[in-house]
Amino acid sequence: MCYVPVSVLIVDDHAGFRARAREMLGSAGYHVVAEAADGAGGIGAARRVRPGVVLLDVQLPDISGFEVARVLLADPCPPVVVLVSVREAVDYGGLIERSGASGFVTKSDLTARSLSVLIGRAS
Amino acid sequence: MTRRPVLLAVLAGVAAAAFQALTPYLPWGWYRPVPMNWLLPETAVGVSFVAAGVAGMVRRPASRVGALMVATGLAWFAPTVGFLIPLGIFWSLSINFGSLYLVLLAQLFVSFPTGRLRTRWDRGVVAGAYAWYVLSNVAGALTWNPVWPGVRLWQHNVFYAFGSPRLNDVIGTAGDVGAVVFAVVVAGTVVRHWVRASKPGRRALAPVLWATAPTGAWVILDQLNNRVLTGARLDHAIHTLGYLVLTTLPFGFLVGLLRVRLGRVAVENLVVELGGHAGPPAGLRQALARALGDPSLQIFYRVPGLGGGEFVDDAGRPAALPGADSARSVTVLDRDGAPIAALVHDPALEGEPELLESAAAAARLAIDNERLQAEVRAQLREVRASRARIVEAGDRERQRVERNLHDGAQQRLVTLSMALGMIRDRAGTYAPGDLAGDLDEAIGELRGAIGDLRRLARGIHPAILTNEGLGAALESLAARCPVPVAVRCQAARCTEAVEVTAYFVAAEGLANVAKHAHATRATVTVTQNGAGIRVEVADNGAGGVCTETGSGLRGLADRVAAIGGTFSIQSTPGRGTRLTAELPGDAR
Repeated sequence: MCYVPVSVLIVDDHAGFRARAREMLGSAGYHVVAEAADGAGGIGAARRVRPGVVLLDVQLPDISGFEVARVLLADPCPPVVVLVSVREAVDYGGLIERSGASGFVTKSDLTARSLSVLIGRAS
Repeated sequence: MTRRPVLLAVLAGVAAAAFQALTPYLPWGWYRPVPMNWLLPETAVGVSFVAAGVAGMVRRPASRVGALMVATGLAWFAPTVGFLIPLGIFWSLSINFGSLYLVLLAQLFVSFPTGRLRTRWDRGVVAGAYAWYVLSNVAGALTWNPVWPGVRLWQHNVFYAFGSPRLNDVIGTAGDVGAVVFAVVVAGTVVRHWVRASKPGRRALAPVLWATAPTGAWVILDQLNNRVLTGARLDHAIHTLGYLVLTTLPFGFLVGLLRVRLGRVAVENLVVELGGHAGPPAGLRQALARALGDPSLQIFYRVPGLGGGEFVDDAGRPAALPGADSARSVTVLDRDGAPIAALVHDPALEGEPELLESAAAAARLAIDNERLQAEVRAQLREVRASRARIVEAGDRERQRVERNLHDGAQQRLVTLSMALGMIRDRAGTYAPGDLAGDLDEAIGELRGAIGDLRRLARGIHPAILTNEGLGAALESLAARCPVPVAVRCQAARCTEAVEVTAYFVAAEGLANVAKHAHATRATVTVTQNGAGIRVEVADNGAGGVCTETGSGLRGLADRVAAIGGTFSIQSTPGRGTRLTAELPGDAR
């Protein structure tokens, strides 16, 4: 098995979560190229490093993850956006559908495998 | 009013008038033959002022207008008396300061009908007139030494220092111009009073308003006389006008003063009307307004213990009474020495305290009734407002709990679950030391989550309070406070609602001490207070706290009020803060 590592940007205001996710994704062959702690920083980093995947927390201190997703997906060459949250999908009603994101994972269910399923579905 | 001032006024008036009338017949008097066309009107002016003033003092003792008129009459006589005393100082005072009666006249016009100067403008006009009188006459006294040949009693002006005819002319002109200006300003002020007065005020002011024009005209003509206008006939005409105006004027004031009376009939009607009074509060106001002849009358009810002012209107809204500087008057109605209501009315009614008194007495029962209703309305408003605030506070609290769970324990547990998942995935490949390190990290997250949950649970309800009582719960609060806290709890156990409220008073108080007060020590004291308890949280910090500044304290006040307690804050900047809650012992 041989593939080019997928580059990932992690946007989440909890440093503990970012560290764990980086470790987990790294060990599964993903390449975490950048981290951001809020929405504005996430948009800036995405435009700078052009990641293949953005792992995006819904509840950010400045703007909501849905808003960040809308901005990122409006770019001409958008990344695959995967939303994450401590809450469950059902807590957000139809917002996840409408955001245009490729998928949503509850943080406690986040594994390298669940992420690659969503990415595979998107591409 | 005691009879003494009236008696004194009569004696002084009679003495001055007699002296004036006898002047020409005194052995050292200078009038030969006696000029009756001068003596009669000159005496009549002073006598009419004193007589009308005494009548005013007797009939309207609450008004100072009577006394002011007596003073004006005496001031009118004063220079004649002065001239007759063969001492230089009296002569000099009389020639230089004899026009005091004109300033008193200005004060009379401006302060009519109460005799009090109510607004800043009124006080300014009268103060200005006095200042001008002193200034121009002192200037004149220092620079003028008239020599009247043939006057037997002539004396030197003892104040004279220096002078020239030119200087005399300048000072004289300035004095006259000032008098004309003040005549116009005073007339304008009377017109302004008339325009702004309500019905009873206008009734009283009417005769004075009509008197303004001839009086002002005479003052102005008198100043122009011998300066711009000349001629003996004109001189004579102006003097005649002056005597006429000044003799009749006091009776104008007196008529105005007496017209404030509205009669007993009005109060009798009020009693009949209130007999059938059961309608809306506006009915009482209208009935009183009619009886007192003041459509602008307002009634405010005293409801102590509400936040802010003490008085409310009939809808229970907090209302501020007009201040001392206002153009409206306030009469506070008492019952057993304690104020129950305030009537805000036209100042003219102050001249008729008996009328106000009897109208208020007739309406007392209805007013008391209205006051109770206003109190209920005010309490209802307050309860509605506090209920809304309690609901809001509950929503905010739930939001805070959700936020705390989400940001704290939940995040830690998510991280823990990810960490454990990774440990499972790597289980076979661990080097011996690495596994322990990863597990330690996971345990750290777990302990953090447990700590977060513990703090949250304590904030929702302190279990130690239920199990161990208020004293133990307060000590545990004190132990967690970063500032040293001395706890003293000497109270029997109360219902849970009371103890929880006491606990949260202490918790919020200590949270504020830790966050804002910059204090070095604090005390929490719980003492028995009759059947209830009193909770005090005091610190030695910066002070300057009030319920308006923090929603926490506002919420605390609502919480205390909800179980029927009272809550107060004493917090002077630089002198620490003391929260006090008095709670009933048996609230549920």
